[in-house]
Amino acid sequence: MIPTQFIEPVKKISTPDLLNEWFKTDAYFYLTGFIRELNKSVIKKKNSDECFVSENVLKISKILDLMSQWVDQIPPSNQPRRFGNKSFRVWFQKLAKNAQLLIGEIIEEKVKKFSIEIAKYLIESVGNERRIDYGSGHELAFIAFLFSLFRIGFFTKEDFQAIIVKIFNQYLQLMRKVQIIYNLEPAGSHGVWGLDDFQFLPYLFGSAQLIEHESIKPTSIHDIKIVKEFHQEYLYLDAIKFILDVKTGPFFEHSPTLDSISAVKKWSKVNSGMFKMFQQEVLGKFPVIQHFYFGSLIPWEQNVFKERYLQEEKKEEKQHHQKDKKKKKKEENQNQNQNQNQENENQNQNQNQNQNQNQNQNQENQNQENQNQKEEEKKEEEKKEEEKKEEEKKED
Amino acid sequence: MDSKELDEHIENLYKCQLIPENAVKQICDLARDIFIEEANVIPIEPPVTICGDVHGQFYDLKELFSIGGQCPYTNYLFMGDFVDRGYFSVETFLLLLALKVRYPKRITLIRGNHESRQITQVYGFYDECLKKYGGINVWRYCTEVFDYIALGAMIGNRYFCVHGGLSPSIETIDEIRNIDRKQEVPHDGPMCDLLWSDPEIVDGWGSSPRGAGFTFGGDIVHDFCRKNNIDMIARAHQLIMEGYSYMFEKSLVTVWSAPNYCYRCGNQAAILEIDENLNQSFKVFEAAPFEDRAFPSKKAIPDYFL
Repeated sequence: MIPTQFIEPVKKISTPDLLNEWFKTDAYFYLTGFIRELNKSVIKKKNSDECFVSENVLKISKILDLMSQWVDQIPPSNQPRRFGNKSFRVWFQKLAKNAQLLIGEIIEEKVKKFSIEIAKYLIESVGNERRIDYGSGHELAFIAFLFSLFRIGFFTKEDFQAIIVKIFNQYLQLMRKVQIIYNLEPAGSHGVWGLDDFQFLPYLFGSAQLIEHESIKPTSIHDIKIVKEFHQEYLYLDAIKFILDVKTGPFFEHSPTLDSISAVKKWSKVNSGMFKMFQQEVLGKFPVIQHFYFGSLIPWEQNVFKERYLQEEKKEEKQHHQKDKKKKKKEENQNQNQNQNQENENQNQNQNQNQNQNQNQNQENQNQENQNQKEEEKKEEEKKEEEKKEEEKKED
Repeated sequence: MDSKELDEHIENLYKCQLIPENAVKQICDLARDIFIEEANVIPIEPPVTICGDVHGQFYDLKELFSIGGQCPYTNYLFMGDFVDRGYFSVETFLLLLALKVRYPKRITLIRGNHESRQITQVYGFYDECLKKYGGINVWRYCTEVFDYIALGAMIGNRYFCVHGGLSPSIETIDEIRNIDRKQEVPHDGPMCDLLWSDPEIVDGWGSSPRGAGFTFGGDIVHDFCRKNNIDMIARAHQLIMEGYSYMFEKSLVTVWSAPNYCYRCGNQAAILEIDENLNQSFKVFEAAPFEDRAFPSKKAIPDYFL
């Protein structure tokens, strides 16, 4: 559903303790769900496989083309510099000035009010203007950009495969060009303890593409012939090739994390691991996520979380009610003089069981959700549970 | 721990070998006892060699010592960010710490923004400790020591040294001396700013794109130098292609000591030598040649993929 009101995008996660709120936001549910669906859409698909390409996909592709042309028009400067090239700021400003207009031209009249917000996510996705750096937080902003277009109906589910193999792939090519030409700093890099200095998601989507591949295995990244022959077909191999191009020294030394992942037997295992790692290392880390923007299409509100909770609560009430009836009959037959407090306690125990059951169901449903979030949910449920007990006491 | 034992640990650390967990604990305890006596701004008599970020690049630290002279024959000041990103943060930090315990007057360590529980849990040091020691005790010992490391140094009363930069809530160095530093790096306030801020061409104070600290201009630096009767601020914290760079008519210098950062940046590293007359000269160096480095070949698969 398209929201009715436009909210200017702002940063919300100003302190680390707000991470737990972030895991309950609609933004978190939407983005993780969106990434999961995008991931599914490219399982066993190579880049050149037949794929539905809509007019709208082509329109975004054109914008990325244009951004790439701007790089050609704005060469790096020779002025003295600390690290990154200052011409990046000129390029960045070109995008910042034109993004809203470019987006406004391609989206429908009724959703034009969101063009500022959609443009903001695109601008955020190309790096930091002042620091002349880039990292996985910027890559996440590009996902936010894609999702905001999906949310206004510009993209549909039929576009997902093309969103990855065409648009996201094109975005990666553009960002690699920008990283090299303007010498962007890997300021958010986790060094040898991370996957890659700049990107994360090509390893997620790329491993989905390679699931059940008959000849290319996770360990094939060490075979330079395979990497060179197939890098244009698979995002994973393309990302590996780029590392080999820009890094010096042996692979196991500069990229020990990717090196160790190459020992995993199956791509499906790599793929599910990448999703968990993405949740923890990108979505779950304050230094990364503090820079993320929220607006009307990617809202800070917690409606999804609350709705899910309320549904569970209703279920609980129903079950509770039924058990209550049975119990009362039993009690009438057995002992009418039972202490009311005791009864209360029993009820509470039952309720505990119900809640545990629900929790289990809940966890199964969301078994991919972040651990922090699970804990938070538990805490939240416990809190509610206590409140409920309190209420019941009052009723009694 | 007697000095013979300590020397053995230092010898092993120089070979990039891990020392036992109980030795780590002992060295951390001894280092803490030394740090606790040091002022927030440590006075240093020149000559001394100033070094910037090292980030666990152990073999490049060895390169640094071979170019700048071995400790204790050369006096050193390391301006923080010993850990994270590189593969050998444990060995790097423990070597510097052991040298501090062995030669407390010859080597000075001040705190960087990465010497923090929160940051090391994101950028690698935590994972490294867990991987190399199979538990988090070593990480815990080290991060407890972090809290006692000084915030700055003053060389010959003329050069003020700090990891990041200045703070809008600090006008005089005496105010830094009054901070209660023995804590985790806070999210804001003067202590945070000293470890996080960056100089900027634009005058005045600005919000930092890093999300912590501030940016400060040449006017701020000149004011600070005049008010505190110093000639220069030396700091680290930012990658520099040439390893060092002056700003604001040489009233500020940035020193960076991690060559070919992240194996990709192709940058040089530098150290700044201050002689007894406070003259400045730089030594620039490249990453240690591959033949001089050693790496364990097999690594465990991360838990996410099991």
